[in-house]
Amino acid sequence: MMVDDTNQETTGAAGRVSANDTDDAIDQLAVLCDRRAATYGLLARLFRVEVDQPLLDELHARRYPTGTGDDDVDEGYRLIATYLSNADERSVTELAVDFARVFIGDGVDSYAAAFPFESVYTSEKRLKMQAARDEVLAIYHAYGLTKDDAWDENEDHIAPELEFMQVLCARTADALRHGDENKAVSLLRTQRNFLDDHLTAWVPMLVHDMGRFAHTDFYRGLALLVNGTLRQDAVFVAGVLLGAGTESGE
Amino acid sequence: MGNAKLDRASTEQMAVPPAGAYDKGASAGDAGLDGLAGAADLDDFSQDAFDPLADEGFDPDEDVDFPVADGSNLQLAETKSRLSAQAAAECPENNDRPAAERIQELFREMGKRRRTLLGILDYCRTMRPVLEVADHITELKKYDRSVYSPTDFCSLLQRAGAIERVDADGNHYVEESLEPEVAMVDGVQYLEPRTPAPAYWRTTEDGIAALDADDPVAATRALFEEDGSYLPIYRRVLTMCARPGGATARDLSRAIDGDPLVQSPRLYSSHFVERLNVSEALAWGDRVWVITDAGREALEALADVDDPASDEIAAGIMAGEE
Repeated sequence: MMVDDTNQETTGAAGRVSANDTDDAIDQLAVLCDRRAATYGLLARLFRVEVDQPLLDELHARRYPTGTGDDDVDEGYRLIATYLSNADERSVTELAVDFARVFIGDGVDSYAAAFPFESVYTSEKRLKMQAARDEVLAIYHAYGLTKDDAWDENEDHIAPELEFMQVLCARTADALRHGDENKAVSLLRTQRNFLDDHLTAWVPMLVHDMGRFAHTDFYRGLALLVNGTLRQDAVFVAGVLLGAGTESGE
Repeated sequence: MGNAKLDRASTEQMAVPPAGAYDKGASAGDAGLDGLAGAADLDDFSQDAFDPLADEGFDPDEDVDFPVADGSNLQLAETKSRLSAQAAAECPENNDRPAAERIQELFREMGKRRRTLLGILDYCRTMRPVLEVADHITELKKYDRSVYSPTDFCSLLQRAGAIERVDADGNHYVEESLEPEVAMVDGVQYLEPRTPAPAYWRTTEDGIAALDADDPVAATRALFEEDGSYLPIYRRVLTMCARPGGATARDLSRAIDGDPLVQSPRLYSSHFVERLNVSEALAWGDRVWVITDAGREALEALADVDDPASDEIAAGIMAGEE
C-alpha cells in the first residue's frame, strides 16, 4: 500500500561508537527493529485483505510464541494457532466470510461492523475521511510515502498505519547498521509519537468491536494480538528512547 | 490510553455505548420494517400527491443526530443474529427431507451449473482427497464460470446429501477440535499448528442415483415437446454448433434474432442456447458453443423440421467435410 518516494542512501560513519559492547547492543537493536518490522508487516497484511491459500499455508507452517509477557499477545497467538490446527480446504472461504462480517458488515449505519479506519473511531459521528486521515496522510508524505494507487481504501485504514510503522522500523534498523544513531533516534521518536497519537489512541476501540463481530478464533486472535503488540511496542520504544541518553526520551 | 486488558471475556461484558438523545426504545430500522409490513396496497399510492421536493421545514443549520448512530442498533442486530441462527439450527426442514428430494431441488435451483454438479458427482464415485476434488472442480469450471467456489459446490452437494465427507478408511469423517502442539526450540516454548486428518469426498448412493438418472437426450426431447413452435430455431442453433469450431454467440445472434419466429413474443438466441445448455445438448468451449453427443442425437431427431437456413448450413458442413 505504501510507495516509498525517497531515495534512501547511507549516511556514512558519522556518530559511530567504537566500544564493542555498544556495537553489540546496536546490532541487537537493529535485529529487534527488523523483527518489529516483520511483525508490523504481518499484522498489516492480515488487516489489509482476506487471507488467501498461500498465506494460510505460510501461517500454518509457522511457530507461535508463548509467554511473551503480554496476556493479549499470548492469547492472540494461541487462538490463531488453534484455528490453524483445525484449518482445512474450507478455511479460506470461512475466513473471507468472517473478514467481511468483521470489517465490512451488512448494515447501513456506522455501528454495523468494526470499520478499521481511525476517522471512524475518532470522529463524533463515526465517519470516514475526517481529520485523522488528513493527519496521517501528512505524516506519510513527510516521510516520503504515498498510498499505492492500486489500493482503494483511505490512508487512515489500520493496514497502512501498521505498514507505516513497518517502514519506520526497517529504516531504523538500516540507520543503526550504517552507524547513524541520530537518525535512528529520530525515527524511534516518530514511532513513539505515531503510536501515542494514532495507533494506541483508537485501535483498542477497534479491537473491542472486532471481538463483537468475529466468529472465528482467527480474527478474535488477531484483535488481541494487535492490541497487545501495540501496547508492548509502545513500552519498548519509550524504553529505548529513555536509554538513548535523553532523560525524557525527547 | 490503550492499556486496558481486553481479553475475550471482558470484551463480551463491556457495555454497549450509551444510547444517545434519540434512543426511541425500538430501533429506527425496526420501526421502519414494521411500518412496511403493514403498508397499504400499492394501489393506494397517489403519485400526484407526493412531491419529493416539497419543503418539509428542513433547517440546514440544525445540528441533527441521526437516530441510528447511537449504537443501540448494534446490540439489537446481535440479538437478531443470535435468534435467527438459533432458529435455523432448530429448523428440521432441510435434514429431514429425503436426500433424493434435496438433490432434485438443488439441480432445479442450480440448473445452469448442472454440468459442474454432475461432473463432481461422477468424479467422486470413488473417494477422492478433498483438495483433488477442488482442483477438479476448478477444471470443470474452466468454461462454466460461477461465483461459487469449489468449496461452495461441495458444501451444497453435501447439504443435499449427494456427497459425503469420509476419512481414509471410508468411514464418516469425524470433525475433531485440535489444539496446537507445544514445541521447545532452543529452550523457548512455541505453539505449532497441527494438521487435521485427511478428508475425502465420496458420492452417496442418492448422488449416484441422481447421476445415473441424468439423461440429456430425454431432457432435450422434453424441451422440444415443450417448445414445439420453435423447433426450426433449435435445429438452426444445433446445426450451427455442429460446425467444426462451433459457433460464437455473435454468429448465433445474427442467425436467430432477426427470424420472424422470435419477434412476438420477442426472444433472442441466448434464450434457446441456454435451454439447450441446461439440457446438455450444447456446451460452452473456448469462446464458442459446441454440440454434445446428446445434442447430435437431438439434431438427428430434428432432421425433418423445415428450416432452409439449417439446410444451407448443413450443406456447408458437408461440403467442408468433402
